[in-house]
Amino acid sequence: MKLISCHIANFGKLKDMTLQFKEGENVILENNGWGKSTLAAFIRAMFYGLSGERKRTETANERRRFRPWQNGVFGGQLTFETQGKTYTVYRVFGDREGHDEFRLIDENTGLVSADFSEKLGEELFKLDRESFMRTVFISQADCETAVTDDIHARISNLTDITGDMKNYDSANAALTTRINALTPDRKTGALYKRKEEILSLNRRIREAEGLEETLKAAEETLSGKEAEIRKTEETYKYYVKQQEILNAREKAESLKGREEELTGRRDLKKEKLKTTAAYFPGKVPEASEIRAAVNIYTEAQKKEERAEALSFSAEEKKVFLRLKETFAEGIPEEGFLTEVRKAAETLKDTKTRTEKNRPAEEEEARYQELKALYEEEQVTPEELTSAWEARLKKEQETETLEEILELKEEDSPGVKKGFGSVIFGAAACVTGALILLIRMTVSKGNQLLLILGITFVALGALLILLKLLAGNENLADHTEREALEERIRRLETQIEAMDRKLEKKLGIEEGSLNKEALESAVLLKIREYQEYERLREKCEDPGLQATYEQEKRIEIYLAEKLTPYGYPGEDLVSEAEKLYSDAEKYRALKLRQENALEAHKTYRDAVKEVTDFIKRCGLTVEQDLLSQLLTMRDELDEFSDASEEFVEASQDLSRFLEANEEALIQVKKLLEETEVLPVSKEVLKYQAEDLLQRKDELVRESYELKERITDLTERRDQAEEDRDTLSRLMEQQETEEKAFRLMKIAREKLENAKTALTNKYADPLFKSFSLYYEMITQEGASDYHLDANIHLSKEEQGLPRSTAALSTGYRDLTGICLRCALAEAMFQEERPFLILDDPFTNLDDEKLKRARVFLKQLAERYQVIYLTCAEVRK
Amino acid sequence: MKLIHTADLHLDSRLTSRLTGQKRKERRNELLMNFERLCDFASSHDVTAILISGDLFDRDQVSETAAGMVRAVIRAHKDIEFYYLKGNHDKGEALTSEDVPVNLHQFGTAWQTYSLDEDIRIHGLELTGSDTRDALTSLKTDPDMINIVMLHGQLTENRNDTTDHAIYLPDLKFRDIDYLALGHIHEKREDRLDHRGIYVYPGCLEGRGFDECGEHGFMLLEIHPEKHRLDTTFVPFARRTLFRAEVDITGLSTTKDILSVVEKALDQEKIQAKDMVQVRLTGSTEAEAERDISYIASVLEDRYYMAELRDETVFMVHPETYQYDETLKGVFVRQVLEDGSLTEDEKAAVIRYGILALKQEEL
Repeated sequence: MKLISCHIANFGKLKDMTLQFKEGENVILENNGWGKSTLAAFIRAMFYGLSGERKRTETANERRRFRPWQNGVFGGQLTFETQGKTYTVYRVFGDREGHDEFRLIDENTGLVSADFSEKLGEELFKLDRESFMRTVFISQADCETAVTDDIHARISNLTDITGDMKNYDSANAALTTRINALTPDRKTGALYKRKEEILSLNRRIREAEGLEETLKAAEETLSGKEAEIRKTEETYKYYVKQQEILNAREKAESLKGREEELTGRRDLKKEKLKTTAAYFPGKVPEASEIRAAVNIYTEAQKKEERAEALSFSAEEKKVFLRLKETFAEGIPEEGFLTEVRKAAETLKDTKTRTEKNRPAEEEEARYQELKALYEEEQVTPEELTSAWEARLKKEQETETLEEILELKEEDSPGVKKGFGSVIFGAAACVTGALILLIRMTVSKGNQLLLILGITFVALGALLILLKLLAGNENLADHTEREALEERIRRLETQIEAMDRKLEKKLGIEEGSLNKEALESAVLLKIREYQEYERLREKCEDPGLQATYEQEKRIEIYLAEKLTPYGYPGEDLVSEAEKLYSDAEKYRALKLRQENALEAHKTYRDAVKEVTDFIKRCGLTVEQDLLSQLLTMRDELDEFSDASEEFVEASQDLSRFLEANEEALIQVKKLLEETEVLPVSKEVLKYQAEDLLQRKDELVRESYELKERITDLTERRDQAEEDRDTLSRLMEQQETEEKAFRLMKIAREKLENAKTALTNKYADPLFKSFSLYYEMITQEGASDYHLDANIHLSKEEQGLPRSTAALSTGYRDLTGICLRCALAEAMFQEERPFLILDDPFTNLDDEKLKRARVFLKQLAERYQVIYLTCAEVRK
Repeated sequence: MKLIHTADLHLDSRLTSRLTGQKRKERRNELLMNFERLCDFASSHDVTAILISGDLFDRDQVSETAAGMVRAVIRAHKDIEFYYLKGNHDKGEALTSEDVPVNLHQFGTAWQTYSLDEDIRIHGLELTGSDTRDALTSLKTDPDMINIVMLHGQLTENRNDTTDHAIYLPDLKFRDIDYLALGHIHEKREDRLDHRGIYVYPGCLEGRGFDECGEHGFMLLEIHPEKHRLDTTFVPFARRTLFRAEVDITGLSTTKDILSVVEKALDQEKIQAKDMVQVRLTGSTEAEAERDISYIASVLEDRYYMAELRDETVFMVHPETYQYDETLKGVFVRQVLEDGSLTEDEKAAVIRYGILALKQEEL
């Protein structure tokens, strides 16, 4: 079998690479990192596909490891020749095994060949992937780094070549150990021990078979004991009850005696009560009722006495009858009387007032006289006063002018100087003062006198002033004096005329009066008129008239009110007062009469009430009610005492019955419903104590039984657990017996396999090894020995020594020889190609030289693909 | 008003899971104390009555420990009325001695009716023998009442079924039943009985072995007589849940991968540490696969209260793999494969032993 060519589309770092292989030696000299291992893996993948499909690590999983770094077809093709036919295998690897493509072309026909399936490697070399790798691929050594122990081991250790042969001993030992651990033939074996345990469990389970029945019997015994305890308790309770009954009987007798005593006493009191109650054939009164009757009666007596006291004397009766007649229609209401009385008082006041303001007859006469005089006359005091003042004014002016004239005459030669005006002025002042004095003292309110007085005073003052002012001044000339005189004359004429006019007004003969008389007449006239006005006011007063009318109305009113009562007298005020007084008196008498009647009625009612009360008590009414009531009271006291004593006796009995109700019922019940053992209390007590003792014994026995039941229950539970354990152990035993048997078979089969493998490879392997060893070393391999485990050793000084003890170079040489020998031995049908991955790195120059020779010779037998990175080893 | 419907407690029963030592005792006590735990739950949730539809005990001859415990618990919960119907497992006289708690009401072989209150009637019948149809059809109910019927038996669709405790459901239809409280089947089952009522198997209160896996508990009934309505809720109550998983490890070649697949399968079930698991490994692995089943078992045992790992896998050997293997292993495999005295399984096992030995791996 030989490789012809290959084309790598993409595989790991290699891409689009085509290699041609020739027969014999094919040296590929490339630097480290070129991809020699990748090339080897590609060749292997073309025959076997990718390995480590389920491995997670990239190193183990070739699909991951050699997936192209660049995109493109993952795979390639390899052309090889075998059995005289040339094939080209195409493989394209997908993302998983199922997507891989495989195609085998027969190069002679150009058609797809079915000579081999996709398991091309296995079918072609009759070796699986691992065995193929261990033979045709002879180690890789890194040129750059030192050779590691692992590389040495891989090259030199024969067990590596034969895979797991090295594990045989340990595998055999492990199986033996496990078989021995399980063995049923020795006491230490698990199967033996478990068998013993199973036997023991079976024995215990058999022993426990009757346990359920024993337990049941114990429980039944316990149940019996407990029933006996209950029965004993019941009997004990019965005896106790009997004792209670006896005690109760004693108590009952005592209680009954007391009951009878109390009942007898109550009956005695009852009899006494009946006797005392006989006094009252009717209703037995209450003490309060008797007390009330006594009170009612005594109070009534007092009323009767008061009635007597209130009765009228003969005189009073006479007055009463009179007034009763007067007020036959009824006593006037208080309001009416008050109103009448008030009207009478008002009338009295009115009369007093009118008497006081009424004008006297003289005044009335004088008024009529003056009225006749002035009613028609039109001269009024104001006119007179005015006229008189005007006249006085003219007169004053005249006098002033005369004084001026006199002063002029005194100053002038023809006129004597003198003090006439001063004297005159002083006189006027005095006159005025007198008039004012009169006015203030005699004629108060006379306006005329006031004006007159003031005028005189003013004139006097003026004259004095003029005299003083005139001093030494000379009067005017004569013309002036004449003018003055003329003016004086005119004034005097005017005064004269005014006087006449006044006289006319006064009805006086003209010129009959001088100035003073005229003045007096004027004043008199004024006063008279004023008197007339005063009298007119009094006699003609409208208020007085109204008072008269009011007085009349009151009199009519009173007359109307008093008449119905027979008081039509002259003096309404007094009669009104009398009516009031009579009404009061009659009211008092009537009330007194009513009170007397009421007291009398009360007395009669009381007597009736008391007699009715006595009758209700079933008694005949006696003359002396009070005495009878007091007797009743005494009798009632007797009855009450008897009643209280009866009640007390009854209550004593009730309390007793109530306090002992339950006891009496129990006693009665016990007496009726229970039997009394014909034994004494002491005997019952002894019997009860015996029962208690028996019960204690039963409780103790019951307790022991319970402990036994607990023990039996635990044992039963244990037996139950034992059964489960037995079942589990039986399963384990069965499983391990099977395991024991099958492990023994495994050990036997493993041994047979080892023997077969050794027989198959040991001799051919050693022959090939010797051949290749001589090829490299030019020495015979007689000192070497290959044992049943395909373990190579060298005999030195009569003793076998492991190749591990050889020098590095020799170790590598022997390893290479063994690998080649293995290929020789294993590929007996189809001689394969060999891939040598720089295996000579550790050889010295001499050995390297021989190795190169060995390689040439090897290439004569095999197609060798020699990968190296060193020119020296080419 | 609240009621609890339970059944198949199987107190005092043997364990069917392979627990040992202290855990075995602990588990027995847990199962025994379930009844008290149930009653405590009832007390704390104002439950008026507990209906036990058979198989309270596991066997006719009940231990005094179990019977005494049940009596004591019933007495201690004097505010709860207990209605107990015997099943096919507990026909004994455990609770029929003279020492019966006053709040325990039982049934006989003829229909018996209890009035829970003015509006609720509880009917019960202990089925005996194979001819149950006459007994079932003799049920009399008042249509104006809430009617609860207790039975222990197996539903059948065959009207001529003569097996013991067979219940032919059509016999109970249109009999004014509001709730048919059944017992016997250890898995919860609930469905409509007719237009008015439903029938319910609450299942056993707690799984005892890997034949009773999954969620277990009881039915909580809430009755509204004024509305003539009955609401039901399933209350999971088991202390520990049992799970069984079958894991196919075909093609897996390492212990790590196998453990990963097993863990994934168990994680999907949301199993808690207090639970119990049984894992069956099935499928086939390469004879050369690196697999340590005992290690996986130890991991599971550490993780759960109880874990059982069963290796039911077979080894695969591909002859073509070794056809051209000129190593010791190749020759060994070929020799084993050629041995006609061995079965295929044995061949695979022998090959695996040999390969493990050669690889210096633990046998």
